[in-house]
Amino acid sequence: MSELLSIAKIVLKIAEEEKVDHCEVYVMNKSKTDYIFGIEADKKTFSGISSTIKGMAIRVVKDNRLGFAYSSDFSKEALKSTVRSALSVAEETRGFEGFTSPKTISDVKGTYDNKTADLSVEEAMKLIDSLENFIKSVNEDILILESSLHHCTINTAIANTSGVEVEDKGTYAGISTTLSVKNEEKVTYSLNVSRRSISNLNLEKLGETAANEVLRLTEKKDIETGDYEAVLSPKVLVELLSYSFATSLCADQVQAKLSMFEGKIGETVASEKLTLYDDGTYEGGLYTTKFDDEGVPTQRTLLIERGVLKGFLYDSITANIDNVESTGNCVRWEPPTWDMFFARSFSCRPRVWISNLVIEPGSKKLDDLISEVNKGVYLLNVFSGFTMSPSGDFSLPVMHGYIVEKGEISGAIRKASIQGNAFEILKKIDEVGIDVDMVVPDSASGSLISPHIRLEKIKMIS
Amino acid sequence: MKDLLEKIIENAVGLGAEYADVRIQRIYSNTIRIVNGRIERTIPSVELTASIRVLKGVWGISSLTSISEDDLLGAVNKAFKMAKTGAERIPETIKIKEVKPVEDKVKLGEIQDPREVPIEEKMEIILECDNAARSVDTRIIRTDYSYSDNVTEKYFCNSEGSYIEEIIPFTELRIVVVAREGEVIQQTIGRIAASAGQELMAYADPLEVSERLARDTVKLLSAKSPSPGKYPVVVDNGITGLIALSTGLMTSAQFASMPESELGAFAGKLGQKVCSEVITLTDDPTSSGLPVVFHYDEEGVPARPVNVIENGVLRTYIHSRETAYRFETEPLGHSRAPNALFQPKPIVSNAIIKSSDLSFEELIENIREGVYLRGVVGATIGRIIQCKTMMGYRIVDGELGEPLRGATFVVDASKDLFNIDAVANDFDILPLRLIEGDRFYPVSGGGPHIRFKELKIGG
Repeated sequence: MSELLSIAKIVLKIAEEEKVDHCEVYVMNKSKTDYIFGIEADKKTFSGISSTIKGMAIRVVKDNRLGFAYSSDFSKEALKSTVRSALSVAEETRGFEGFTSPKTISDVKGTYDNKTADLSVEEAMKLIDSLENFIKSVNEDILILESSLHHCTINTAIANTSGVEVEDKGTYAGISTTLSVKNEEKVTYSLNVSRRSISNLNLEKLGETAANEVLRLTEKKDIETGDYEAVLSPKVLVELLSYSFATSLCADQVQAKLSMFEGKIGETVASEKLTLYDDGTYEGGLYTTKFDDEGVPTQRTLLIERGVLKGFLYDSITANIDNVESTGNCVRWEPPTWDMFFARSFSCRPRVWISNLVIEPGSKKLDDLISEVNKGVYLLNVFSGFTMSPSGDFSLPVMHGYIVEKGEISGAIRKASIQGNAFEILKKIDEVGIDVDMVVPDSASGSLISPHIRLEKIKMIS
Repeated sequence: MKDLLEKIIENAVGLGAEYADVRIQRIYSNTIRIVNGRIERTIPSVELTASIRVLKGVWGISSLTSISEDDLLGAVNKAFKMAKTGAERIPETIKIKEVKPVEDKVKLGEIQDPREVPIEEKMEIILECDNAARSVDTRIIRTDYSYSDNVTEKYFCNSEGSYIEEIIPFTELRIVVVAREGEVIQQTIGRIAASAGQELMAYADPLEVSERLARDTVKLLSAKSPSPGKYPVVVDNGITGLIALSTGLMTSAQFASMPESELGAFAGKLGQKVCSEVITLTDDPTSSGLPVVFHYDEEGVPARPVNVIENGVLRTYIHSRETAYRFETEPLGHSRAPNALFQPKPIVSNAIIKSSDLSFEELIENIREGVYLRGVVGATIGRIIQCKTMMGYRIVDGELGEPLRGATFVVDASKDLFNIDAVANDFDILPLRLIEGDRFYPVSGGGPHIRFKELKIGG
């Protein structure tokens, strides 16, 4: 038994001594290392940061009242007082019928890599060197304002009084770089990529892409306010889908009548080009785990099929209310906590949330999507969609994007925002690309695994 | 604790560290959220955080949630190794400004320790406020109370012989009231916060604040939207606070070292005029009653208030020991971190604009047609401040006229801050949370009512 699972069982025992009716213990250990080279006041800087965060959370039930508390202090007194605190704040909880009982848990693929877990300081430095070399080999005039490498190992364990005893481990690796160009210092481009292992970071390709992008961004052009055809990168799409839209897919929101999709199962809610899943088992997905944050096995759940709304996401409590099975979407996360790898934390109360959203790829390459555009834009990055209203209305400044004229990129957008409604945007999808990327939103938990998509039109504000 | 931390530091020095410090923080906290009279969540927690910082040419940092000797020693080794390997690739090494070693223990002041108040009592106060707000009018459709309190025990030890313990309390309540009539929905927000204990919930009178917000929200339902345009504009203390905070943030030496960044507008502006001469801005982490109060900063440096802007001129940046060395000045205790997992950075605490001797009446008496704006609903800050205000009034012939709905305004720091032509004699603060990635800093801005000669407002 792992250290985490034995801690979980110690806490269960303390809870039993406090005469609770039910108890669930979640323990998490997150060990992360960041190597960051930057430039401050024209000088090269370095910071190396390693962090090991271990914490546990409990849910206890007594007389049908459920309480939650957490602690990162593992001393016996702290654990005991956490159990007592949870009891002191217990409330009636609709739909609670006991913590989940043990279920068969299948393996997931591509979530742990020894090399990533054991990466040494020297190896990490070499990887950053090679990223910088790939960038510089594109053009000598490129300035590297930041280059960093991050890797992380997360261990989790859950035990409850219904007999669940499960554990999982995962690795994560990521790079980020911010580039500029000599004599064009106002132009910057940042690239952040996260994967489940170091070997899935193609440094050569990432370096070249980032370098070429920053060069291409120097040719700024003004854009007039109006409607444009638009090709959206997965990074733009994830900002449109990870807030109001993701919220509306969650059963707790549907049950509270706050979801825009309430009562719309079977209705057309998007273009017929769109088929969307939530898939907590996706091979190598950033939010792929063996089980969700209450120990229910993860699964692939069809949400939208050729534009028709097919289902919602459930944890066990919301599933009991609707008399259905949990989809394995119990998630310990609260906005606006953010992480480049895995935003969930023991300190957040469990809720329903997405894992990996997966858009089924179409057949067209990015170049073809762009070449068919007559008057439009190709958007690479926008500001966080966090500011979106619950009804999906957004107005997001474009960070990086291009103007497309007669199938060709004619310049980079100088200053503009996109404006519209996230739910309406989905109805305007006229093509889905083929090349899939995996991205995370700026201020939410969950990932999006998606190709580029094209919209009939989007409103650009100059 | 002292023996343990000294042992850890000795170890770092033994490895060859030029400087090392260790910070331990234990945070006891409670959060309560009540929506429409229903308890949504109550979360008690204990967070234990620790960091070791080792200077060997560059910084190596290791943070953890354990204070066992083995874990801390392991962390020292990791931090040292990272610094040593990193330094090989950096031509210029980091130096920190010398400060005098300090030994001190700062105890909790005369407060009602929130750890000793049963959570049921806290919930009761909030439920009472919630009930009072909803009883004001049937058109109030939503009330949302977020309460949190915490007590942070801090321990600091460094290789220069400093050892400091300090205990800091913090209590806050955020209130959102929404009213609806037909298709019209209006919202107001109230915020109470101080570095204080449970007594705040008595003297800040959340009940009165709740009822006032509720009445204001209902009043807004029938108010007109302001007509967009340029006016003489008077803003209340909260909006002044937002402007003070945004301006104060840009005085961080860290941002001033990154001229391209959104907060880098004051890079290279020392000694120059950065706003109207009626503005004197202080970053003050020491005055009791404000939301952020500490005697020692996260680098163990005694905190002192600093006039960053005097009569419109940028006098100094706020510093960490590292930036103070670089700028050849003194660090005055303005390094902050959300908890011991994060590293000290010079960040503003309470940014306060100094009051003058003008009354509010004098501020508006010569305005023929203007707008008075109150309260902050939402905002983004930086070179450009975008703010949605809560409500307003027309100013007509030197007197307050009809109530208006919240207007939006944009303040371009490089132009509009020069258009402030008067400040009043009153004072209040706006407590906020500064969010930067995964970090939260409690901060506040404050000051008197201020007047813009002219400001463009939207509907």
